[in-house]
Amino acid sequence: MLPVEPLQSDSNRQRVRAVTVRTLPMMMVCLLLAVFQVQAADTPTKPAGLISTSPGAELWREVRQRDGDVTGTTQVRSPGADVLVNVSGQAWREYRMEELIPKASVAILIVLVVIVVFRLLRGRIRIEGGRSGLRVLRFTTNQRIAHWATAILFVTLGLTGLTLLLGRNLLIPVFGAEGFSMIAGAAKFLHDYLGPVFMFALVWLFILFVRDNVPSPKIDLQWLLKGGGMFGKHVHAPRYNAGEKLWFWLASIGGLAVIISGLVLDFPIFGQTRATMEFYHWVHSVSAVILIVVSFGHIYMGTAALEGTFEVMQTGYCDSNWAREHHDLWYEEVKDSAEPVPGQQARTRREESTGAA
Amino acid sequence: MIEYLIDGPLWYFSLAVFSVGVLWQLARILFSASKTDLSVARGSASSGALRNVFSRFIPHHEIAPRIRVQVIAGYMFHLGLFALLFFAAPHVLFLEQNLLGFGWTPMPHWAFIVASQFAFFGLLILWLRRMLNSVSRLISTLDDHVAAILTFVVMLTGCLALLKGFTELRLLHRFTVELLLIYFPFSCLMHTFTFIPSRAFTGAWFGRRGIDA
Repeated sequence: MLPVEPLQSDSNRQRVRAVTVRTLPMMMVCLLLAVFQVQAADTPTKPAGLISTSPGAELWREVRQRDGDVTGTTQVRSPGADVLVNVSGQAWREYRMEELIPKASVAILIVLVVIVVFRLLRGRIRIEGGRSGLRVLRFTTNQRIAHWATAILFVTLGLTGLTLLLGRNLLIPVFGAEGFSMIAGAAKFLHDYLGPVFMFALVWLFILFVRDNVPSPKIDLQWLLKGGGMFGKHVHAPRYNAGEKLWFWLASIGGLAVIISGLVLDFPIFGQTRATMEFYHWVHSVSAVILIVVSFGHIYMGTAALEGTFEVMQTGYCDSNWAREHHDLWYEEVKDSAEPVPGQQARTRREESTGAA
Repeated sequence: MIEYLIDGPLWYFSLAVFSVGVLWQLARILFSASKTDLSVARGSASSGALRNVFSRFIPHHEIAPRIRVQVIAGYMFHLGLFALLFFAAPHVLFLEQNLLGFGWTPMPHWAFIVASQFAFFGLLILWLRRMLNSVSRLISTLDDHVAAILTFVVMLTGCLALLKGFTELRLLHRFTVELLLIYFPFSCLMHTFTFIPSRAFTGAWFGRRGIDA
């Protein structure tokens, strides 16, 4: 058995205890001083005269720099993820609320007022020679399918898009915040899912209609200078007049802008930054609003303004007199193919009025 | 109350009508009396049936140029709808939890978007053609229009039901699906189940007579 040294061991313990008793209070004092020191350093100095009611206000003031975005460090790997509060986003929001929406609303209202005034001044434009009882083929079935597919999608996307753009001001007073939330959510989903379908329709429409919409500078300029013959003498026009050609090219180029910007917004998975999304949002909104306001004119002219126009896109055929009055150059090319309207007697308005007399 | 009705009794009722109705219609066709063919066979009925089932997937070359639009639109719609119905993630989950007890790998989100574009565009073009082509319009019945519109509405509300925050939109989709299920066995939508037997029957008839069609 090994010898034990109890005396030496006891003295060591006593020494340790004595050192501990002496140093512990000193350590406690140091610790307390350190804590107070840290607190003192952390406490911000309030500017004179500023009363802060929210304890988070100072923190958020630091986080949100008004002069520009401050980047930090994060494990999230996506564009803009290292910016906690995006100042340019707020600037975009203010632009959208204070400029884009009011200007879009005014543009829509102006066009609607112009259409009403035009209607009051000019009334419904009749076929001067009355119905001829003869018809010529103007649009094939495929052309009409492409037109109506594009039209249905355009109206749906226009309505859902305007709901998203103007709905906050127009629909919340009617449906309340909760109701508008559901309507806006549904509109966004429809808009996002039907948007790319519009691309198919517009491309098809372009292919089918482009050949006859190539500008003919001399004839088109004459048509435009004479206002399409709306307020004066008759103007010569080929298959599509300059107004229709302008609408075709505006719809094609504007539609392309809407489609490309819409795809960028619809699929934000290719590294688009916030600035990119804001730019394409602007392109999308502005080009869409331009298309919508001009389409009001197209819809009015194609339905209520001119007698015999709507049925052309319905049936594909137009009355011979209608063709002669609105597209005389084209009518000269196709007049030999005119055929009697099935089930309708050839009665001109002049004959009708003679009969009535 | 409405939520309980749509998620409960109406769902089971529509499912029962659909199942019994489809089985009844198929049995009616299968067991319908047909005259025994006493003619001497000039060819194989079985090979004729098999050939016709597959050859009809491609239109005959003589009429192909004239029906190109509806063939392309038809394939777009049917393939898109099939993909959405059986491979959309919410549908796979629903079938697993409510009907089958097992599921399968759903398609990715990008494929879901592509399929829905195909289905929407295809159906729109097919319905417009039905309305705008004078012959198609004449031979179309109310059933054709109701079936097309109901299918479109189901797809549209399905799109809205993806907005998970609102129960109303999910209920709307489920309600339109229930209407479709009830309507299905008594409409032209039965072609889902009858197009293969129909082709096979015609092909067998041709095959037995040695007609190369």
